[in-house]
Amino acid sequence: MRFEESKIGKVFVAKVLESRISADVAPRFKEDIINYVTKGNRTLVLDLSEVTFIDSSGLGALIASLKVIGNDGELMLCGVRDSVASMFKLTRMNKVFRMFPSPEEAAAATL
Amino acid sequence: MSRVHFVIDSDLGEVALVAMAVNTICVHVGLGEVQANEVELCVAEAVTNAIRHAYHGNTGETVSIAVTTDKDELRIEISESGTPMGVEHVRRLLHGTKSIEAETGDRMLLPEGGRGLQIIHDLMDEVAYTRKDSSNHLLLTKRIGQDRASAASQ
Repeated sequence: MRFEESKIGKVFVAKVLESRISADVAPRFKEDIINYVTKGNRTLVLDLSEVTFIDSSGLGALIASLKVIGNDGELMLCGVRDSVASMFKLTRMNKVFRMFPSPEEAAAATL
Repeated sequence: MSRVHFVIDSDLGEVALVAMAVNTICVHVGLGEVQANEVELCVAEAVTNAIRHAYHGNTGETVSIAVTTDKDELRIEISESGTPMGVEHVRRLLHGTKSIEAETGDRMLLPEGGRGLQIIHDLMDEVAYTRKDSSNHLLLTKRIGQDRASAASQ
């Protein structure tokens, strides 16, 4: 998976540079996020503004990543488009992941 | 009545193209953008399931996706000749499950998979699954022209 990495203060931001997070790329996607976490980024903002499609495997990869982070870290989402947000609502995962309009707002919420 | 027939190899990398093609057909026949996205998602879930479960992730097999449209509805038949779906999975596909997840608040208990069939059940107007002449057929129907709010926004 292609990501654009940045930092806002101490918060690590990874922007997904793919339009689809689906079953074919979900294992790699999960591996990449877990790599960020194991490198010490326990508060992570995932910018999904380029993503137009996510399936249940992509969602599963996000949930797996959240579980690796555990209860003492955070995986936040930002820039979620309507077509992707509807998947989170349908599966009620909008109650699990905190979503923000921009990476800056997500980072500010960690303070 | 119009009919388009896609045949793909049982490779997860082939799913996106057919799902996007079905989305385009949905828009063309008058489903709105939200419903077209929902159908695209269901096709992606169904074809992914066929590859992962019916064919156990093996490539070199065939998945066929036949899309039929008429004035009132769009039908998508996904056929494969792999292992049939188990009784429990068919039940979830046809009837859904009442279990509401994400209410406990404990993220560590969230399942990572198993949502695809429920998604198909929730988003399509009709779902049928049959086995005929050693092949399995999943028939998904979406009605056209119904002023129905998307399931996700309910």
